[in-house]
Amino acid sequence: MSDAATAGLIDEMSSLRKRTRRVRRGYWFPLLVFGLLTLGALPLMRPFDWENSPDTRCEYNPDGSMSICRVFHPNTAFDVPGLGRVDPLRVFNSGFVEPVAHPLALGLYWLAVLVFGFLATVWWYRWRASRVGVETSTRAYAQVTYCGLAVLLLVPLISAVSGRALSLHHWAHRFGSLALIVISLGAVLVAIRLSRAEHPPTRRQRVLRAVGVVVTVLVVATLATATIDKTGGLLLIAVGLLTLAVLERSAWCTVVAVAFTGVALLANISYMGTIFYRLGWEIGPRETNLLFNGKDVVLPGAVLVIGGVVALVGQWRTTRAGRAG
Amino acid sequence: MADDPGRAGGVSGQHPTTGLDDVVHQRHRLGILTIAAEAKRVEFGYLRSTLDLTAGNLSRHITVLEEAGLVRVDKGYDGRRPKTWVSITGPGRTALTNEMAALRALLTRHDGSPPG
Repeated sequence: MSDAATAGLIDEMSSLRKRTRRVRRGYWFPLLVFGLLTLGALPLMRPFDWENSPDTRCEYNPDGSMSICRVFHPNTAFDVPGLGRVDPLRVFNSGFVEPVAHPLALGLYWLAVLVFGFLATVWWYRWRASRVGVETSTRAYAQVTYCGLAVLLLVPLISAVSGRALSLHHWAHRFGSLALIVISLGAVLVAIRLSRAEHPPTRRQRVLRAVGVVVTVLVVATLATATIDKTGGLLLIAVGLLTLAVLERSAWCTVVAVAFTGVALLANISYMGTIFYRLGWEIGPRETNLLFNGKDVVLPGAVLVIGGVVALVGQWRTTRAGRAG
Repeated sequence: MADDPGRAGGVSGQHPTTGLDDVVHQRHRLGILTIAAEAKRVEFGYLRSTLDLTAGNLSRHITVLEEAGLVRVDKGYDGRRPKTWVSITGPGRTALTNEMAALRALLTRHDGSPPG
């Protein structure tokens, strides 16, 4: 075989690989879906108006001025015998500077977002495969979602058992949030690597993997208990999108997923107010403005929508160029 | 060429052509494996149009790869239309990696050899 023929064969295979990868990609859809669903949480993030709440009990001084008020913030916690107070939706609705008016609706909304977004993404890749003839594997993405939901369900239980002992603050909170993402992504990369092994796993390997998954979920859940308050939905979407970026092997998808993860982490440490202030964006009065709590989802949602639209336009142009060529 | 394609492993310490696998080395079969390695599964029609092969030719190449255990073939329906899906196996992925490594080693060896 001559050098020219060998080099030509290698180039041809490289070209086939790139072409197939381009045709296979469909990440604009999950980016847009999760972006729009994230922004859809805005109306449910209205701060609780305690002054006009019928549950607020105020005492007044003889001169008519307000002395003290007892405010009962709405929440989704309830008592469980033996465990104490458990809030199954705390990863979605607690930790805001101003408590939200409808925590149950917000918590259920995020649960629905995670389930619907996951099902829509899996359906999309299968539907797209039947159209273009090349299918992206969503197995790792599905495993991430299952494990992520297990983590979010475990957090309230670990939180109830541990009380405030697992709460991190300041820099420990920041590093803990980052470690949460790094450990989760590391586990995903290991799982993808193992799934591409030449031989199917032996029984012993399967048992070891199952133990590894359980230990990882418990470690991540413990770290999540110490670091996540209100952004459970955003952070699970972030890990899911980072997984999709690995599966898609796309630079743009990686850029969008990393940017989204970055702003989701900033929202988790309640840094969005500082960003808005430094950008000179007026949020308005906290009692009425949706953005007061909603600023935590505005930038993450915008990153995904813009990233999704750019990817869609790019794909449309590639498809059009392919047809013309 | 290796006598036993399934065992044509690494290329270190041997002439690079030792790593070339008869089953995989054929251009179209290498193309099928390259495309299949990029996806969970690939449809027969996509392979045919991308590799510019007739249905009969492609079928023969896929059968060779399937008999060597390098790809798996699944037949199904999309509505009423029959569809054939091809996916790469673990040994297929390894064979592709070895083949590409052997080809690159061959090129590097020739690049490094003195002229004449």
